[in-house]
Amino acid sequence: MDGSRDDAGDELTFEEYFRLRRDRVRRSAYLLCGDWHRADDLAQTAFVRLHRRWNSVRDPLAVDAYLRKTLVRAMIDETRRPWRRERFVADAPEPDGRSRSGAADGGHADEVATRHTLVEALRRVPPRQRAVLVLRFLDGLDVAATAEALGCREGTVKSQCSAGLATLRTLLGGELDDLRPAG
Amino acid sequence: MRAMDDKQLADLFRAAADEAAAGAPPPRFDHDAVLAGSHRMARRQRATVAVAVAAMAVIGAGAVFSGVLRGPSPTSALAERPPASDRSTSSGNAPTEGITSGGAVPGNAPGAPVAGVAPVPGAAPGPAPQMAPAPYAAKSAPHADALNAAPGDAPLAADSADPSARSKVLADPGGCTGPDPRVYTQLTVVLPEVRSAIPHAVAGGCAPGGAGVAVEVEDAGATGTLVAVLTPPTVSPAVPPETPTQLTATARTPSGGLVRLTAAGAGPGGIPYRPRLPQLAAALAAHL
Repeated sequence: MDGSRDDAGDELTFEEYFRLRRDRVRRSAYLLCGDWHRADDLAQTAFVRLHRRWNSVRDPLAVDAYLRKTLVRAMIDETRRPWRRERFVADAPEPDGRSRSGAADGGHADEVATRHTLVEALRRVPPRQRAVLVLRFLDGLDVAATAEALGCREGTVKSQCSAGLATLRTLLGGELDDLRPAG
Repeated sequence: MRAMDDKQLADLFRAAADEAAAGAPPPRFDHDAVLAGSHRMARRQRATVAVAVAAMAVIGAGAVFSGVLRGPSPTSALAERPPASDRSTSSGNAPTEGITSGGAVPGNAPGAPVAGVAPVPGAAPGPAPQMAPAPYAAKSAPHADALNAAPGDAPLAADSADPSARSKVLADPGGCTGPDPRVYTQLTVVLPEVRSAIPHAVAGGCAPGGAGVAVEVEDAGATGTLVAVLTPPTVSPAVPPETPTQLTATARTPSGGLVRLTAAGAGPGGIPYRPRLPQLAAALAAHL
C-alpha cells in the first residue's frame, strides 16, 4: 500500500516536472537539431529515459542535468545513424525573405534576421560542437557542467566551443558580430 | 569587429530559441505518451534479459549434454579405476574360497595372490590393464579355482586371435600389473602355438619385481591355461603343489631367476602340456 502510494506520488511529481520542463526541453532540442518533429522525438526520448530513472534521481538539479545529458546524447546518437547522418556544408545559409525585408526596416528587423540565421547556421555545425554551443549559451552551463553532460573533458569542451563558434562565424560571415567569447 | 562576451552570446542564443519557440507547432507528445514509452522500454528490457537468460540456459544445457554424451575422459576413467591390488582383493574372494573348498591350493587365504607364489604386499599398485583380466576370467571360469581368476569381470568381445587386441595387451607395462611382453615373447619362442592366444595378466599378481603372463592353450585335446611367471633371484616364491588338474614346473634362468610354468586343465582332456612342461619351463628359463 505504502509502495503504491509512493509510486502514485512519484508519478504525480514526474507529471508536474514534465509539465514545467517540456517546452524548455523542446526548445533546446530544436536548437540541437533544427527541426520540430525531430525535436519532439528527442525530447520524448529524454523524458522516457528520465521516467525510467525517476525513482533513483531525487535532486532537482541532478534531474535537470540527467535530462540535458540524455537529450544531447540522443541527438548525437541519432546523427550517427546512417539514414539520419547529417551533412555539413560550408556555405552560409541565406536569410529568408522575411528577414531580408525586415532588414530593410531597421535594427529590430536586423536582430530578427540574425536570430533566424543563427538557428539556420546551427544546423550546419557538427553535432558535438552544436551540443557544446547549446549547452554553454542556451542552457547557460559552465565548461565543467558541459563536459559532464557530454561525458568528455573540459579541454574538449573548450576546443569544441571554439571550433563551433569558428564554424558559425564562417557560416554567417558578417551577419553577426565577431563570434568569439570574450576572455 | 568586437568580440561578443558569453552573456551576449547567451542572450543571442536564447532570443533565437524563444523566437523559434514562438512559431513552434504544438508538441506531439504528452505525459501519457511518455509513460507509454517508458513502459514499452521496460518491457523491452525485460524481454532482452529473458532472451539472454534463455540463451545462456540453452548454451549451458548444450554444454552439459555434450559432456554427458562424450562420457568421462580416459584419464578420469583411469583415475576412477581401483588399483589392481584392490581389484584382486575385492573380486578375488570368491575364487579363492573356491580353491580352499576344492582343496586345489590349500593354505591360500581369501584374496591372496596366485597359488604357489609368495604374497605381494603392495607390489601391484596402480591401474590394471582394462582388457587383461576380462577374457582370462571369463574363459577360464571352469578352472578359475586353479588360477585365481577374477570372476566378475566382463568377457572381452574380441576373438582371442584378434591381432589388434594382442598388440594392445602387449602395449601394457608388463610386470605383474599386466601380461609381461618379454615373458610372453619368449613363451611364443618355446611354444609357437600360443602366438594366436591373447596374453593376460597373471591373476592375483606375482612376487615383487616379478613378471608373468597367462594364456589359454589347447594341447592334444586338453584345454586349459598356461601361466608363466618369472621371479627375480632375490625372491623365493612358493611353488603351488601338484593337483589332479594343475601341474607346475620350475627352472632357473641363467641369471638366477626362477621360472614357474603352471598348466591347469579345464576339461576332461587333462592338463595340457603335462609331459612337456618341465622341458618347456627349462627352455623358457634359458631364454629369460
